[in-house]
Amino acid sequence: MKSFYSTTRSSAAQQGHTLVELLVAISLGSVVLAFLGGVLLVSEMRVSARIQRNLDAKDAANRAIDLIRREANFSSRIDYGDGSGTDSLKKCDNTPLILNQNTTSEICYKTVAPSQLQDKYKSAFEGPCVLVRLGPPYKPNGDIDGSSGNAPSPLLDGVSNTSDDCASHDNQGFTAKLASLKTRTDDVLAPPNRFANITFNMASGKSYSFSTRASSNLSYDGRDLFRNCNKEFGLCSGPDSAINHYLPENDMMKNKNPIGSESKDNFFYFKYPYSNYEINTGTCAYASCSVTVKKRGDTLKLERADVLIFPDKEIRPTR
Amino acid sequence: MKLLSRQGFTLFELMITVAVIAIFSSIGLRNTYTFLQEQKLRQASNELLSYLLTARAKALREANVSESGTAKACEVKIESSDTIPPTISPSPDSEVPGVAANVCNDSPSLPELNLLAASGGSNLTLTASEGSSPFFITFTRMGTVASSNLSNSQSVTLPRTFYLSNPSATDLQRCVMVDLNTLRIGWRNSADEACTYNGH
Repeated sequence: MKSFYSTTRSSAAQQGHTLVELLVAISLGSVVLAFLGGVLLVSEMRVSARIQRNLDAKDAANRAIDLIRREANFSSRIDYGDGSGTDSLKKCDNTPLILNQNTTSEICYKTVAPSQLQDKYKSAFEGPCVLVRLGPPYKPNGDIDGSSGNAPSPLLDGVSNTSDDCASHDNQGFTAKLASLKTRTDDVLAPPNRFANITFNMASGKSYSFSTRASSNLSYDGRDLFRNCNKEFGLCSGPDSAINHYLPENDMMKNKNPIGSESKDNFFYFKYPYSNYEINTGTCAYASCSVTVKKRGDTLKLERADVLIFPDKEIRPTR
Repeated sequence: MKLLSRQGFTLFELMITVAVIAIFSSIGLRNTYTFLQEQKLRQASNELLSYLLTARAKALREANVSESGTAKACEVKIESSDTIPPTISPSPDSEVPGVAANVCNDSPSLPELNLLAASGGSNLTLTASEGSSPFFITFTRMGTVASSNLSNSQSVTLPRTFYLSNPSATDLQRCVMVDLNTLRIGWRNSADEACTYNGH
């Protein structure tokens, strides 16, 4: 019988590789593949870790921005610390930004070195600087617990350090530029500061900028704009004698004709955003300015109004 | 006709091969097992974190302050014991005193979440830096964590850290830190028991 194999090819051509050759080739191949795969895997892991780190850092920055914004919105004014004092983790001084929640509570934001943090925070923050909130804690109903002292809460890690000491007043890692409404009488930046442009410069090279505003009513207690007010566009008491703050109660608009003081600046506050009211800016003047509530058609006439303050806008009647 | 070689491997060669395979696969299996444990812990802690973030968002979104000054908050309860696997749920409404309401229970209410089931593991323990189960966390309308609980008015020391681990491999632990305005997640170093967090 003729061999099946020999019908197609000569026996010499059937000589393949030996098992040893095959094993060597496979192991060499797998070493090369494993090396390449490893390199790819490591670089992929590094990239995804970096992306995750960036996302987390961005998240932390956003949360810090949210808190500062909200706390400013519920504050009566924004200010700078005076730069005095020594205990950097207890006092709201030597700091670029202070928010006054009410007459007794202050909240401030500042940067400190991680080594200055309490032990329970130390291992969780790397620096070079950490943005810290110093202020009283919150009660479950969302009010500031003024009876408790200031406690430091780190908010944001990795803030850059451009001065020797993170706590220094002029550390450029965290800056706040404040502005207020100008008064008519002396045309200077009068208290209270209402606006703040805030920047975080991060060690990573990123920077975050945002602006926020506080109520410019000094009698605002962080919750009630109408505190200490006659609610029919009455005068609210406040510590600032150069400005009269007039606060309307929503349902008391009809047929009111509030008249401001001649010798002072008169600030009129409105509860809802500007779009809820109709004001003919052409005829709105210091002497007389009409404001209509769109939904109800109630109109009120303001006299001697220096500034009309809406939650989202300010209007200065012409003089 | 030329016969093909029928020479096979010796028993000894086979045994060596099997032993080598066994050694390599035991190393591989061990790594795979650790990796799976890590993944389960990671999953459990991520679930816990995202639950807390949802509660926080609910407090911010739904809890409007009224002019009379009554406000709402979103409070959750974390329970863990030998018999109860780590579970997080809105804290019961009946425990909340009249002034402020727990919006975690408002429709749609936050569902109860069993962290063990959610992580797909077979065993999971939860401990905290202080206090004992059940733990309450109250998020205020400002998105901050309150310094006292809505349910039992007990004061809370911040930051509060929760540790998640598998009791059969306690050197692997996940940390979830809850502070005034910060929620962080990371691994716990078994040597010095300090947590290292993401987002540096």
